[in-house]
Amino acid sequence: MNAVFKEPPSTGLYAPHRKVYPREVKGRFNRLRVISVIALLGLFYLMPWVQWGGRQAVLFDLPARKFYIFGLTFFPQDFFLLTWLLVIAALSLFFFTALAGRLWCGYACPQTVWTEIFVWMERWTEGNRQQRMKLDRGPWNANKILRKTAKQTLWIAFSLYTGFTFVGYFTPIHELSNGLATLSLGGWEWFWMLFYGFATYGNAGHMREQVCKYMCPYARFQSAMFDRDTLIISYDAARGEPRGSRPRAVDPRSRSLGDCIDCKMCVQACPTGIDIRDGLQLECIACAACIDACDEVMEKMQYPKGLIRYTTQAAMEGRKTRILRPRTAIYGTLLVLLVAGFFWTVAHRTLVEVDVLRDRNALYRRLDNGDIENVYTIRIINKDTTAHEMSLRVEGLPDAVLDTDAPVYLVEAESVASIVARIRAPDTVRGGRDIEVIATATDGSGIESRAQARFIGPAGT
Amino acid sequence: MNKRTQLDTGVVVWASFLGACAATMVFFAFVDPLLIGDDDSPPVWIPDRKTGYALGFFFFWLMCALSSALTAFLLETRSTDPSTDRSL
Repeated sequence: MNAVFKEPPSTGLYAPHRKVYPREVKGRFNRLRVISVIALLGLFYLMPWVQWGGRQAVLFDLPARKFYIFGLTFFPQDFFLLTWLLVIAALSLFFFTALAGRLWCGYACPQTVWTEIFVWMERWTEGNRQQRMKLDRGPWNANKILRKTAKQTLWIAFSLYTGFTFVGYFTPIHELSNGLATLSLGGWEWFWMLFYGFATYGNAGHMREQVCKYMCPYARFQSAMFDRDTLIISYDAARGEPRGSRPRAVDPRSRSLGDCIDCKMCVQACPTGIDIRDGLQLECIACAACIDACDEVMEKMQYPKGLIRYTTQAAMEGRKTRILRPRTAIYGTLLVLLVAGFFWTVAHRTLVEVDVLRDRNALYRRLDNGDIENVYTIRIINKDTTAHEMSLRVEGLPDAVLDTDAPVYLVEAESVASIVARIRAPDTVRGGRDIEVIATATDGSGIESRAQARFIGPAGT
Repeated sequence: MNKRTQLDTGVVVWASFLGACAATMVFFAFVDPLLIGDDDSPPVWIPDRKTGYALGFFFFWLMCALSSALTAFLLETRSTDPSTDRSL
């Protein structure tokens, strides 16, 4: 499967960097990317402003150790759900890569999406490809200073707003904007705003394709998911070669030429600065800009479109492309199972959880009547949107009783109650014993939650 | 610093950043920064959770960066034994 990749040039990873001036293209794949950019960034910038049930719909309230996602509240105890979600994300990436190659890179990766916006701003201020190249070559005159200043101003303002939005996912965004307006923000808010803003500016403004080439791990291993039926962007060498310029009216076959007029539009359009006609390369992020560029030329030449196109290796070899194959079937099945399981788990997760922490200072205490006492801090985590009255008891140790200061505790909605509990057992207990602490709702909601714990008595048998 | 050292430094900083993000996420999912320390009250250098998270993140970043840098250094300076040279 690696055979489709061209050998990297011997200069390798550390080739001197040439600035890439991607040419603007029009076409269906560019339209698709514009839609994707607007949808994804729109979601990112608008989501923190959406309110749900009287508070921010999506808020990762780290200081309170609670995540709010629409009607649901997640606690650190739900961490496995996040891990689960990351596994689903990784598997989706594998699935879509096996099916359609680097779709992620071309249309959805934050690096691509933000770079696209930054390139738009560059075009508004510095003009098209030729104008930008001329401007960079030219002397620092008033025009250049004005245009560069305008670009930097737009970039920096946009980056700062991006940093502001990012922090808005962690600090309620209304609070954040008020704090910003009155300059009363905390130090960490400022710091993370500038940190994320600077990262956006650096990655989307200056690093661009170098992030994909030097920094992205996915770019290095995505070929492992490729096979002969994976959608790739390919130049049809059989149809295009031998390439060469010709007048429009001339039949290329009469001059023994292929359909490629060697106009280099595909090279100029490439945001990573490669020539797709050299074959599939590691640098190709499958953005399809070269397809759009070439189709436009083919149309002008009145040749059929698709000299560069989305295709598969199988199709190029004249065979049928199989969408359903062991690789996609396995990825797909796993993905469906994991997603279904995830939603089932979220829907059926326990609304109240119990955490038992042993007192750190003493193993056990002997009471005046000879009984043995262990002290615990019991935390009742109420993830429900209503408050619950809970009582505690112990099981697993004969004649043991659990004693708390109050018989029942009211645990407010979406909050954690810390309760000091004393468990007492007769003097006959020796060594460590496994016990279970049970919290039961006394408000008729039928909620019950259990937690394992350890009771420790004097050494002996 | 030549271009190559610059790029190597970039790789070290970047790879350790990713490691630190993962470590911070997992660590603080299980440990409340305010419960760090022997006593019932957290140490003075963790006045609130935000500071705790940030310090934790930079600590992990530093540790991961040291590890990444050491890895890069050892790979860079290893002896050129032909039997292990993959570029051949």
